[in-house]
Amino acid sequence: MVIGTNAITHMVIAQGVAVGLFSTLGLLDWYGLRRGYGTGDAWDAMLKRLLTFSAVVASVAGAVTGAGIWFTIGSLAPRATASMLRVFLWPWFIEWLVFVVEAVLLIALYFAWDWLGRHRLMRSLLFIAYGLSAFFSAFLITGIIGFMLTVGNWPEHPTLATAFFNPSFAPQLLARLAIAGVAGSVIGMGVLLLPGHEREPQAAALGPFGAILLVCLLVFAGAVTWYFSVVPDFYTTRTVFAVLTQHLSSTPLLFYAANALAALLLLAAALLALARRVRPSRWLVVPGLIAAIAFIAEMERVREFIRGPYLMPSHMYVSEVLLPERFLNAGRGMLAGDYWYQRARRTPDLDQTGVELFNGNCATCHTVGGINNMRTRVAGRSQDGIRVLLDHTHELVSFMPPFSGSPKEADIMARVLYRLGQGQAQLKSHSRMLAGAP
Amino acid sequence: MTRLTDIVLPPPISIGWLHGLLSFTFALHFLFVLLTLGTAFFATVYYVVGQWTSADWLRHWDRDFLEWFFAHKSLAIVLGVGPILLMQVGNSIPFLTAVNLVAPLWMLIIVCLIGALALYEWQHRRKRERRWLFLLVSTVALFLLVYVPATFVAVLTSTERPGIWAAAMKLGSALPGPATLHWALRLLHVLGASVLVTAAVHYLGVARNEDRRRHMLGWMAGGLAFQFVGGVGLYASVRPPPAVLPTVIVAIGVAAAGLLGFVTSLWRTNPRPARVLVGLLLSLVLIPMLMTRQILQDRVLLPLVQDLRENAVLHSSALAPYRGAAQAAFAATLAVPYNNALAIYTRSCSFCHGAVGNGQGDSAGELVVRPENLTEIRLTQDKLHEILREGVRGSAMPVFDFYLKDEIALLRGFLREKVGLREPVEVAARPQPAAATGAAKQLFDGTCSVCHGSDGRGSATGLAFAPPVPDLTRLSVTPAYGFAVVSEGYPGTMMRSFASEPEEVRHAAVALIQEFYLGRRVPVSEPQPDGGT
Repeated sequence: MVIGTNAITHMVIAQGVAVGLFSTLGLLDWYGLRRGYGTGDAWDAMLKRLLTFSAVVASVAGAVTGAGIWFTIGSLAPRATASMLRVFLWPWFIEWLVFVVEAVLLIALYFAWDWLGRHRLMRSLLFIAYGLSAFFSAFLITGIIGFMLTVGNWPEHPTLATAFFNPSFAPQLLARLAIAGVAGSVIGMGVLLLPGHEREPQAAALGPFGAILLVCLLVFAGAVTWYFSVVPDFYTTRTVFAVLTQHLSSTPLLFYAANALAALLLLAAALLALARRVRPSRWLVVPGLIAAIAFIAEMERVREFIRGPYLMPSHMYVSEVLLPERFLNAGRGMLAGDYWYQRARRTPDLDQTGVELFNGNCATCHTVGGINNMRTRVAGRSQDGIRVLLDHTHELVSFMPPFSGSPKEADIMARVLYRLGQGQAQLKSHSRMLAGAP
Repeated sequence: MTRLTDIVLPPPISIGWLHGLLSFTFALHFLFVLLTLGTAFFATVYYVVGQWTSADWLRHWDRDFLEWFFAHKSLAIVLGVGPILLMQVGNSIPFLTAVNLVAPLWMLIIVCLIGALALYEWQHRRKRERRWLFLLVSTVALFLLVYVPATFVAVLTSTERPGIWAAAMKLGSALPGPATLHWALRLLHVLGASVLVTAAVHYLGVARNEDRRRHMLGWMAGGLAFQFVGGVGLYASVRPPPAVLPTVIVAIGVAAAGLLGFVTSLWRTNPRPARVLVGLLLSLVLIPMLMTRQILQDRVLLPLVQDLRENAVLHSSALAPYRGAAQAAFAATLAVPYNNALAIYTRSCSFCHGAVGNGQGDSAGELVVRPENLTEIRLTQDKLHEILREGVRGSAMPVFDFYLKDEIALLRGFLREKVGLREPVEVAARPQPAAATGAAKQLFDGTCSVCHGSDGRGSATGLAFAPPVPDLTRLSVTPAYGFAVVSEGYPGTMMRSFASEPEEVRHAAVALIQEFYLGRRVPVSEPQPDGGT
């Protein structure tokens, strides 16, 4: 949840503002140059407003949420973070360098705008450089997060190249760039159409915006279709559920209706802008922006959710248990390999042990009393029933990992879950790590 | 940090290279952190000074600082990602453990930082001067900003002290005891350094006015004194006491700092050679200080990381025998998408109800309340849907709300057509003898209805059982199965055996019960009060 909120905010800003809007700005700059708009006139003033807006948003929220991804995943999924970094250190490191270059370019554009107004070629070059580094960023990150759904040959040949250029790499990159273009052009239209600008350059610039929006929208539709044909059915089957969640799972139609509505809104915005209709376009900016943001958020949500029961397919379950560890733990027990549990000096307490097992097996997704409340899941079930279901969690629910631990541990786990359901046991820890304190 | 001890994938870089790269990227990041903190501090200070002075060169100086703040903070944040990456690879376990101990506070950094940066943006772009509002905003912004290094210093202090983790877990706080003192001194040292370095940078290049330069020179002198006093305390708080090498290196830094202090007090004007000397001396202060920091960190972390790597190798070889099975299981899982009723039934139902629905699944034997034999049960459509969506209380039957409505509908169709969970109920071929029916009626009204209710929907007593009695108007059974239940009882529930009744009475009772489902039976007596026999 926290990871998701931060990641989606970052994606909206990174894709919409950083990639999308800056590339659009570059195009607008070039367009103005071609039309012979001079420095200091209305066109230039508008570009400066757009740039300031993007620079502030990108540097205040974009960069922090980008760095923030490391804060959230490191805290909430430490083992997965460390493992992913072992596979993808170099792409991430290069992406960081690109990130630094982007920041320097942004600062240069921002601080030297007036000077650049007298050196238009330089300004265009800076925009192109920014666009290129943004593209390179998207290129690098796509290889990393695309890996999580389509591992391709990585299990047999665990090298960086097989992981990075996994089967969903190309369609996902295309989809990302396209939706960045969609969001960027809608945001750009919004700033352009703010009341107070002169009408003539507004109408003139609307056309190219509409064209970019239309092309990106069509490419996005194609890329998403391609993407879904590459990802195994085992995952894609859960797409609708991922978006609607359990709460709305009894109205699947909502998913199709909402997506169609969002697509139509953006299409209408594109066509109206192509027709250079200033007033109706202005009406569509906010709904269009919401639609674009919803698509970005939906993409991330789907990608993150349908991956279950794996965090790194073929390597790690969402519970951060390695695939072969499940077999090892079935024999020796999960807690036998737990650093903290083994160092804890306390009298054996079944509830406490159960909490440890809950932390290791369930706490990535389930809370007690909060999101995905475990108490409501087990309420009313019998203890022997819970015990049997523990042996079959991964079959029963396609996105749930198997229980990892010995049969004796499963007994303890069932007992504590039963007591949770009955309201007899409480989890007092505010942090999932705390329950393991000696 | 559960199970973090064993990260089995091989690290992509050697320890030596990694730590070199880490030191370099951290130094770069840290420089801009200091500049960010320093410019924020000076912006506030010179706003206050500017409000109460008439000197022209002091007015609006805060805006110049805020202008620089934009660049510094962008670079500080962006440059920070590199060292975090490397830290999480090289020192995964100590660092991530320390982070986990304060996970909520750690993630709060994102919020505080966005808040602080937004407030600084506001300060920079403010249109009207409202003195007290500005002071309030800049104070809040400064606090939010300082929260970030405060948390970082806490995490690093904890990272470097594996010995305190257990105590920190128990207390639920990051730093128990003496480590808190070290943290406070270290944070003060960082803040002092930010003033010193920012003053130096503005003295060296940014300040465009001689008076401003002199001011910066004053801050440098004050900063040096502050850092010297605080630094002695900080170094004394390092546990265990540092060895000779870091002490020699830190002494070089201190000597350079002393020289810098001497130089700054010497020159009142600013000839260019003096500025070059200041720049040179400043790097001679910063580099040894950062080196000492790295050495002190590494002397704890390197042996630990080495141990953990060996442990990871051991764990990896313990896992080796299971890798084949794990990959096979992975391939098998991916091969069965849950997009058709057969897959859903096979995966979600059959381990209890059996592949053919006879209730003889692999796990059936482990259950106190045995899984239902679906081929013998008769259900109305709404009751079937209800059981699937809500499960059966007091049994293993789970809540199937992790499927879409469409998928539940697929499953219902499959249960009807393939498994034999039908809606219409079969009745016995021959009518029951009147005498047996009479006796069965008596039995039902006298005994069965206590739990099942006289209308077959269940009495309050029966519905309170776990599992509750079924609603006989919506759920029924085939005659043979009903006879077996009446004769043998239902294991795991309150339904007892009625084998003592004559066989034809039991048959008649089944026919009678089926009538609830068929909708023909009318209650013959008033409902029994709760808690009857």
